[in-house]
Amino acid sequence: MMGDAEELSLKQILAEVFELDPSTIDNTTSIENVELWDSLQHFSMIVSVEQEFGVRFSEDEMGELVSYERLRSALAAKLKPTNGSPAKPDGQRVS
Amino acid sequence: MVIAAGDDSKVPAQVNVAIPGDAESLVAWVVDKPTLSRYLAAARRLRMVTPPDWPRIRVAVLRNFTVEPLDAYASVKGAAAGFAVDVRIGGYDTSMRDSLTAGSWLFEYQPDVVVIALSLENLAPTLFNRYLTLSRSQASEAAEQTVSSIRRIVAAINERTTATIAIHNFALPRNAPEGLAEATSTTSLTSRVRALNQELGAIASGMGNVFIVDFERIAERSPIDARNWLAARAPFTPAILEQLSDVYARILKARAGRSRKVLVLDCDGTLWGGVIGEDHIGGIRLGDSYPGIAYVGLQEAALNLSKRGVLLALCSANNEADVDEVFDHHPSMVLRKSDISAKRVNWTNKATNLRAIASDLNVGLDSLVFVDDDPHQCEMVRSLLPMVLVVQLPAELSELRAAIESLDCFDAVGVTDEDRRRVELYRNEQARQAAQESASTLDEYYRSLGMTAEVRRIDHISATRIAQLTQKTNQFNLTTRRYTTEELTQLARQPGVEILSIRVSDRFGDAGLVGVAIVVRGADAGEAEIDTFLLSCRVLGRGVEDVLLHATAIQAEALGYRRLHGTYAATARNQAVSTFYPDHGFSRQPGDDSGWSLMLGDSDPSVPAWFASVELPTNAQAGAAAG
Repeated sequence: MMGDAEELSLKQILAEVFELDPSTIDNTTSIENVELWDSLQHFSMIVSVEQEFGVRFSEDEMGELVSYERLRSALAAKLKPTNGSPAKPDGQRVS
Repeated sequence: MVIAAGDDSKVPAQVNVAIPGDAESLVAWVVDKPTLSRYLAAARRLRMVTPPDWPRIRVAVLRNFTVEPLDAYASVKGAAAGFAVDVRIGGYDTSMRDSLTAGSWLFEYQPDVVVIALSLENLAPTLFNRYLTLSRSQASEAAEQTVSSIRRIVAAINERTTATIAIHNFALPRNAPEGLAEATSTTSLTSRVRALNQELGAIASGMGNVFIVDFERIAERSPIDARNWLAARAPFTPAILEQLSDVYARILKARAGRSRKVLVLDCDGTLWGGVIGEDHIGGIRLGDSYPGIAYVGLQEAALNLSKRGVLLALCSANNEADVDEVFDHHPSMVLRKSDISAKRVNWTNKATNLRAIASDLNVGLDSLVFVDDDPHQCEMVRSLLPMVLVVQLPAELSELRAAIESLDCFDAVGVTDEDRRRVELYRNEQARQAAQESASTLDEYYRSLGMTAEVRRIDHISATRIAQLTQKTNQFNLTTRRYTTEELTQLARQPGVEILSIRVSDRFGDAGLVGVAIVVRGADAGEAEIDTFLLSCRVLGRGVEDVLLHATAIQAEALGYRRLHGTYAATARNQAVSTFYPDHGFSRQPGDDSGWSLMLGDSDPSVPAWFASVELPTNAQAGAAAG
């Protein structure tokens, strides 16, 4: 689950990696329309999100999370508490 | 993995107002939260806002895998050290071509530093990935080729530039291809990689401008990211990037001659546990078992540094004779007097003492590292002498040794003959000078502490602690009279007696009950005798004694006394207070050789202006006792 604070942090990370004004980031923001979003910065973005939220994306997810909308929903799924316990801090997914 | 990127209208770079706008704030912003995204954002902005007068350092990186986020980390870590770092990264597998071609980008760029970051897995894939398919001689040949190509790259760079060269050595294999035998076999891949790293070290050790970046050790501590390695040949995690860029920053500082030269050590709580002035030579913690062994470890680390050419100095608030006794006679002391190049063991403030030490050794204050366990001393030095690197020792004794060993500011220490001659002079006691710390600056510092003091009469709760202080306080103790709780309770019931204690706290916290004054009837009517006046050495030098004396005078007056009389009874440990009374307005009276007197009412001792608040007891007994 994503609260407002998490969403703000996520936007701030994208803003920092891709040199954007965070207030302009929305569901339409993607690799298609952001100048600095290339394959290299994509990795930096993924690692930054993992570092910030203590989550880990799978190899498949790495290639799919190429828009703010997809990133946001993949992250929300990982942050969703399962049996009352949040995602483990070491980045292991809770299954 | 392929990420398709369309070419139609894209959002260009925008301004993110959450990112600071000047170099120093950018560094602080990253230090506050050192995430990859902050490094990237800060490094981009640094390019625009780095002050033009910062020394510019061009760093070229030769690599065979994805190292890219390193440029952001190196830029920010460089900026933290005051360098404008410009990083240029070469092509994926062009390091040999770039370094062997006279007109290549590498030489056009005129680098100050060349980083050679080559992955063994990419450089010699068969050796690393199919090691067991190779015969011994094939493996040796592959290893030899690897070293020889790096040797050629280094030679080519040295031929055409004066750049400092930093060679990454190789990570050990993540797993053991030979299973259990990996560690026993001298021909295993692990042994082979270790041998390669030794050869790289040998290349560096022959040349003054070549350093090894110990990636073997870094990768042991922080494993590479296997997913990102496979998917993008990008093995560096944020933890690895931090450590690598720390090493780069060290190299930048060392080549700029910005290493520090002197390790200045406090004594009590630093070289040994406890307080020598209170606990005596048999009571301090220093020895073969916990906790004393922790201090032995710290001393060993300092001794090792001195063998690297770092000068050691002492700066501590003690009686010099006490410290000398430990150095001369304690069986577990590691450091000897001959290891110490300069010392200030006295009751002067440490900022003044550090200036004097720097002057003795003919080095700048920016050459000093000051180590102390006391947060007050550390904060005072930080605030008065910001160019001194202050190391506040951790509370956990198991971390003491590492606190010294992990100091990264002593690389390439070069001390001139002139410096050493100065040290000799000092040893002959010919170069003692005193620097006077300007009072206004100290005042400002004390003011910033927000100190509060509370003086109270003895009660059944404080009696135990007061008795304890009379028992164990030796240094700031005018008469050294020892009392038990029982004796104090009886004494307090006598007419004309007042037993006061003082508690102090400041923005660092509550120091607790730290001082005691006892007033009894004196020889003459109207005279109050100061039977006991003492202060814990934890709070010396901050005016706490002035507050206690002020309260003593006020209380004596309230009891109807007209005069205060105090004596100093010399012991082996209380020289520091031998002139306490004359220093505080007391004077000798005709016919009285034993003490000093102060007429109450006209010139009572005052409270230092830097105290934020002072609370005195209410004068319930006013006028009751002096008879």
